[in-house]
This record gives sequence, C-alpha cells and structure tokens, in this order.
Amino acid sequence: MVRLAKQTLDGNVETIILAELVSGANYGYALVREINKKHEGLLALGEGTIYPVLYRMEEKGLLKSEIRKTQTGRDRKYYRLAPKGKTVLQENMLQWKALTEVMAKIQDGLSGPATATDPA
Amino acid sequence: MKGTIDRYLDKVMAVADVRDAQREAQIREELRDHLEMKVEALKSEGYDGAEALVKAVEDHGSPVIVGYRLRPWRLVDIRVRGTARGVIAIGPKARGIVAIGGVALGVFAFGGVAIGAFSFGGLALAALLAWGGCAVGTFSYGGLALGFIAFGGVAVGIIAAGGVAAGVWVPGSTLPLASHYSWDTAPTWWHGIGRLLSFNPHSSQETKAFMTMLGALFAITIAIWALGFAAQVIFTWKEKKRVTGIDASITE
Repeated sequence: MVRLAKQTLDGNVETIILAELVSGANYGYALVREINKKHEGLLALGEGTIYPVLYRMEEKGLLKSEIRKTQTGRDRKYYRLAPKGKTVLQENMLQWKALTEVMAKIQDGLSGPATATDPA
Repeated sequence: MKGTIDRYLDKVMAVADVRDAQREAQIREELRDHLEMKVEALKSEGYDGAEALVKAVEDHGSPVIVGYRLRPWRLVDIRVRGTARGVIAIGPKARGIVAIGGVALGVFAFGGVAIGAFSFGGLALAALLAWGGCAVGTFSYGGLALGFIAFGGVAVGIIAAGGVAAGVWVPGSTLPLASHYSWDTAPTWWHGIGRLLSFNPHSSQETKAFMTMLGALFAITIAIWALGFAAQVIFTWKEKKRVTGIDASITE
C-alpha cells in the first residue's frame, strides 16, 4: 500500500476533515483518531497539527464550533460543517472526480500503447 | 498528569505567542482535553501512567512545530523553523512584503534563494531588480546575470555588459561574445542604458565616471544585502534564544 506523500496530502486535509464531519459534529481528538483509523496505512494526520487546520477552517467559515459539556463536566469543543463547508466539500469532490478520471485515462494510456507497440 | 501536560502546553504556547489571553486559554484547554483523552486511551491499551503521558505528548508533536503552526498571522513574523509569514517575515522559508530567509519570497526578498520584485541573494530571481551570485531579472546584476539589462561577471541579456557578455546589444564588455547591434545600429532609446553600462577607456573622464557609478552601485547593493543579512542573523538569533530549551525535552 502506498502512503500518501505530504505534498499530496497538504492541499487536501481540509477536504478530508469536511468529509469526516458529514456524519455529524465531532471534536479534535476523535477526528484525528477516526480519520487515521479509516485510512490506516495511507495517511496519518498529526495529532497536534490538526488544530491549526481546524482553526483556519473555522476562520474561513467552513466549520462552526460549539462547546459541549462532557459527562465529567469538562468543556469540549465540537466542530460541525457550516453551509459554506458543505458547498466547498461538494466542489472539491467534483474536482477530485474530474482529476481521478484524468489520472485513469493517463494510466490507461501508459499501459495501453506499451502492449500495442510491443514488437514481440 | 497535569504537570507534564501543562509543561508541554506552556512550551507550545510560548512558541505560538498568541498574544490574546482569551484565545490562548481556549487553545490550551482544547489541547489539554485532547492530551488527557489520549493518555486515557493509551492506558486502556496497557500503557502505564508515565509511559502513557510521554507517548501522548510525543505523539502530539514537537512543541516548536505545533506552536509555530498555531501562531496567528502577524506584521512581523520571525521563526527558527518552517515558513514565516508577515509583512516582514524572517525564517528558514519566508513569505512577506519584506522576506528574509534561506528561501525568501516577497516584494523585497533577501536570502539564499530570493524570489520577488527586488531580490538579493545567492540565487536571485526578480521581476524588477535582481542582485546576487546568480541574478535573473529585468535588471540583473551579479556574478552571473541574466535579464533584459544584465550586468555582471558573465552577463547575458537583451542589453548585456560586463566581463563576458552576450546579448542583442553588448555596449561594454571585456569579452563580448555576441552582439547583434553596435552603437550605430542599436535603438536610440537604448543608448542611455548603454552609456550607463559602458565607458570609453580612452577617456579618463568617462572611465572615472563609470568607476564611480560602479563603486556606488556595488556599495548600495552590498549595503542592502548586509542589512538583510544582519536582520536575519540578529532576529533569528533572538528568536532562537527565546525558544531554546523549548524543544529540548517535553517531559522534564
């Protein structure tokens, strides 16, 4: 299994987080744990580095947050998708779909001609 | 548990330098919640208390890296790691109006690799003025200069002058390799530039004026570069001093 390179991941962490929040509001620790578990071997989000991303997304209006009390009475910050976040997620998914199609065609092209021009 | 986590968070927040007490308290609380949950999860996996604490803070990441990422945008941003972003940015990588660093990107860029409108550095790429070991820009001046107007030890450009020069027009060079135009055929509006870049060696007055211009140009560019370099050394040293020890250990 190929692990995603940092530069491949860099521009897409926001999309991954947005997608993870489609199922409902969640907090930082659970987000990291669930994303890493779901994509084990492919990507590993840094535990401490997800928060600057969450704050940036909140500033951009992609996420909204609220403080909820835990069973132990502790305050916990939950993030959920904002309407803008849903729109951005849809747009990003369309972009990814298009890119996937392009890459699939390239892959077909690379494997196709090699066999067609094989002199043997 | 709190002692270790708080010490770690003190370091993170010291590097982040948020400068907003309420915001800092919110971030600190959220990170503490994360770390405490992580410790509990590790304990349930079989780690003992101390091991769980150490692993939790280690997994969370270096306080310097986490802290810098939490740092908000600011006018003057100085970092010893990563990318500094600000109106004035100083760091290994710097992006700003004035950017100073190993790799600097800005309107005024100073660095090993400098990219901007006005760039000064080992490799300087500029929209307007580039000065450096290898300078590429509209006006480039350096050891190897490439540009619309290139002036340097080796100069290649539309108008090029220097030790070894090649261009559409080479008004002055010790070793002109190629020049399409001569003084008589070059566009008239180029002549002013040509006079700035060359001189008649038989005229002591012209030679003196040119050498003065060359000396002044050299002094100005050296002064600008020295200013940028000094700013980088001084401010980076100060920041390094500020964060020294922060990354040394996370559990002491």
